[in-house]
Amino acid sequence: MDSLVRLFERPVFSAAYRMLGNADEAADVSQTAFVKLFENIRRFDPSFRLFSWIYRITVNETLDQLRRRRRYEPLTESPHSDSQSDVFDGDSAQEAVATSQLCREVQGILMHLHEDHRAVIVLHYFSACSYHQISEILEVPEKTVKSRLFSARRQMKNLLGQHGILSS
Amino acid sequence: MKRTDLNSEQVHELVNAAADGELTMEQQAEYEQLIAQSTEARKLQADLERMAAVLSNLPPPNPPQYLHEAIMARLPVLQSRGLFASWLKPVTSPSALRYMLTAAAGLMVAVVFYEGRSAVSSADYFADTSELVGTMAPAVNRTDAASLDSWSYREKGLESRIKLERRDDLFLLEVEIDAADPVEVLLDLRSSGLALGALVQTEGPADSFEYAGQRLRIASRAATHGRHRITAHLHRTDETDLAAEVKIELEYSSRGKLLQQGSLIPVW
Repeated sequence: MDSLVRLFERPVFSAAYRMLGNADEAADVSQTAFVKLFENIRRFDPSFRLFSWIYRITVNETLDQLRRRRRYEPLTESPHSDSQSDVFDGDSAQEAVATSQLCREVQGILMHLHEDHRAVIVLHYFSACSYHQISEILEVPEKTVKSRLFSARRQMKNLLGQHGILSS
Repeated sequence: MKRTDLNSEQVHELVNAAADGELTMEQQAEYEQLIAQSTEARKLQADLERMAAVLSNLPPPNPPQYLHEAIMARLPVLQSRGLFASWLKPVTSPSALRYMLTAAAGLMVAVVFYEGRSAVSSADYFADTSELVGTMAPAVNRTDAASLDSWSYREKGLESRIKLERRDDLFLLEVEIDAADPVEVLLDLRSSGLALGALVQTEGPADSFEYAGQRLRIASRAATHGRHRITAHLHRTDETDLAAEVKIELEYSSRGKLLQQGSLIPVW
């Protein structure tokens, strides 16, 4: 069990963090995801890929958390984004600051996306999933994955450009 | 269809699929023609590449140090050891477990599970590694990887590309197969000075993978059209003499019949 957790805890946390933009919530969701994984291990269908199943649990938990957030947040509040700078590393002190700044900006942009679009961006760019794998994880057809990814990319491209991150 | 007949939506779909490595064989030719003829397509391709470069260069977020212990503390106490053991049994029984790889520094662990089968030849001992993909080693940033060598093979009903790239001390081997019939690719690393470190990614239906004696065997079991891709990290073995010529021998076969042989000769 320990080795299985070690194998998946970083990817699970990474996906959760990218979806939520908050390290504490991502840690909570990661714990819940593993609890649900092991509680339901008997139901695991071996024809289904294990990592897809774990990512599915994780993404569903993040979506639940986002819904819980909406219930308790004022409508005018800006999207959540961590102000913690120690979530990301850089090689030197200067790089750490620059990297952290860039990561916060990109994470902030991610939080502007609709959660369905954010999920495909996170799974594709940060979890290296293919269309087919994303389709399994999100339980939507591949055509829907493509459509969401294309729309999300358009939006990301515009936002990255507005922040001066995507230079020509 | 002439490339000028494609509307903007179709252009976007094709260029996006190309950026994601999701083109079919038929689409690949269409895409290459489109890129040659369309300024809009080239601009979109450049934009997608820039975006991918920005996003893939971001470091992954660090989990809090307490996370592992917090997870372990919350896991349910299994009432019987059989609960977990029964799940693992198909993959850890003595006849099944074949090979375990541990990368240097213990940072990446690749575990290859084998199904025990009543096979008459070693070719039937396959591993379904698809559930391990992407969780063992982070996808490598490919934007500044140097190409060492590549090899392409095409015949009716089969197209394959093999690439070897280098980024610092990391070597990335990518094998793509698009086949109408089941096909096996054998890569012999014994004269390459390289050894398998970890699987990074596999894509496609029912890939299987075997590694023993520095020989990789990748089998596409699907008898339907589909693209399969396996990406793996290789590392240099201690015995590597950089002055010596090294090569990776390649062999394609289908249903036991040898189709083609070749080699990758990496230039350090």
